[in-house]
Amino acid sequence: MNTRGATSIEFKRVTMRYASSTDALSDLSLEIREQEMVFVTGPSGAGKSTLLRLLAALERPTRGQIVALGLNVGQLPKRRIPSYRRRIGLVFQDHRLLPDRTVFDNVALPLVIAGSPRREMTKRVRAALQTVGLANHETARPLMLSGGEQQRVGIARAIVARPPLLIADEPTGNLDPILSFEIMQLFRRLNETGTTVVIASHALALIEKMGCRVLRLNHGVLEGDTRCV
Amino acid sequence: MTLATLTVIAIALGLPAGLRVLTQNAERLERPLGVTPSLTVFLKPGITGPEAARIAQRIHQADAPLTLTRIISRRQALKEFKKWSGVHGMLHFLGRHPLPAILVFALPKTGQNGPVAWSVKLSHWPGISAVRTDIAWIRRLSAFVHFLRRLDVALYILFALATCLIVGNTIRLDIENARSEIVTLKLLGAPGSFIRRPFLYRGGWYGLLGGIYGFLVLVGIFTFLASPLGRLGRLYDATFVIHWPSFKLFFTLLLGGGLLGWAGAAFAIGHELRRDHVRV
Repeated sequence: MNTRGATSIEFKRVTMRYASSTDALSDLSLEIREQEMVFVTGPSGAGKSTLLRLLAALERPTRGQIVALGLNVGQLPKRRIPSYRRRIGLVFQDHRLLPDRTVFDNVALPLVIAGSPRREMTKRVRAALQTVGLANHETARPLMLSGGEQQRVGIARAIVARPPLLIADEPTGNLDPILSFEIMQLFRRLNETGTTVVIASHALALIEKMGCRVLRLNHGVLEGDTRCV
Repeated sequence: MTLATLTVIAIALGLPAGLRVLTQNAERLERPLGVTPSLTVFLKPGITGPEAARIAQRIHQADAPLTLTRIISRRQALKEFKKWSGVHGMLHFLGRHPLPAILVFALPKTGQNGPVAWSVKLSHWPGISAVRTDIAWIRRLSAFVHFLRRLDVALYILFALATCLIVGNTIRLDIENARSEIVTLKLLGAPGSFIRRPFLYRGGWYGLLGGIYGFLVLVGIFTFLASPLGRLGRLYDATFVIHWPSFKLFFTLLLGGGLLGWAGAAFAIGHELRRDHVRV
């Protein structure tokens, strides 16, 4: 999906420095528009994960400003961080599923946290599982599923609350190329429904196939910004 | 949560409660004989009821710091002896009524010397055979009961703290086991209250179960001690009946245990959530 709509995310001269280390991000400025699908790529240590962590309010920038969903994320008071996180969907490389709960319960978690009514929750969880193609796995435990299925459960959990922004950190890192492509297609379908999607990945071949905007980082500096084909 | 942990909580809750019940038993011993210590005047054999009343009147007129509480006539003394002593059969061997009439006076609670001086003085009065003050042992018992009450309060505070720490430590282990889940919940935007809630409930349950267990342990111990305790009590007061752990105590332990467990859990989870590796 091409760039469209208003600005959804804006990094203004953001620097992130960890204690006694070089800059993970250095004076980074970028803009991502609403309903855009963007890949962040680069070699290990380029700052991809740091960028996503800052965006998810898991870290605070050393300098600069980060605006996402109309909020100054870098300066959010601690008590407002949970409500911000409930407005974004997070997908992790290691899925972060709770092994002692069923697929249904895992996917329902964001709705439980938000206090959704039971009937609404059931409806949305089933819809999310339908979207990722796991409608028949509601009662399964995560460990009974394959890596790709687990990742799809993670994606279902990220989208169940219908967040306007989806952030995925190396979502295909542990998957084979075919499964990886399927997962990316899934992200594309979600993007087509109006969700802004930001994905950190170093799978360049896969990214090229997707034909989306690519932000290329190296040593914390934005080295390239390739628009959609 | 293991049975060992639950037992430790039960002991921590049950120990001061057990001491409280013992104190209550001691208080019951103190009460029938009068918290106000008494002075007993044994009149000479053959002194009748009216004469005993006259002697009591004389003592009153002499401005003694004593309050007459009871005149026990010879007949009444015999009746009580038969009822309580258990050796009344011996009286047949004596062939006569050996018991004197008795005057019982209440002593003022303060002022140690006055009553003692009066007991010496009265022992030389005509018609009086002997004077006994039970002031010393009753004051000792009173002081001991007072000490027990204080000790009980101190133990309650100490063991309440211990219960909080035990539950807190158990919850900390639970948190350690659920760390990955907590991090995931935080990543999904769960507020602190959402993460705290299950641990607070769990802490409350631990305390509650500990309270029930503690009460059962207490009842068990009192069942074990009932016989010697009853014998000991009856040495002081023949009417002594053991005061058992009550339902009120049961509910106090239940409620107290629950609240302390909750507090311990709140402390543990609050402490854990403030730690950097959880705050993501």
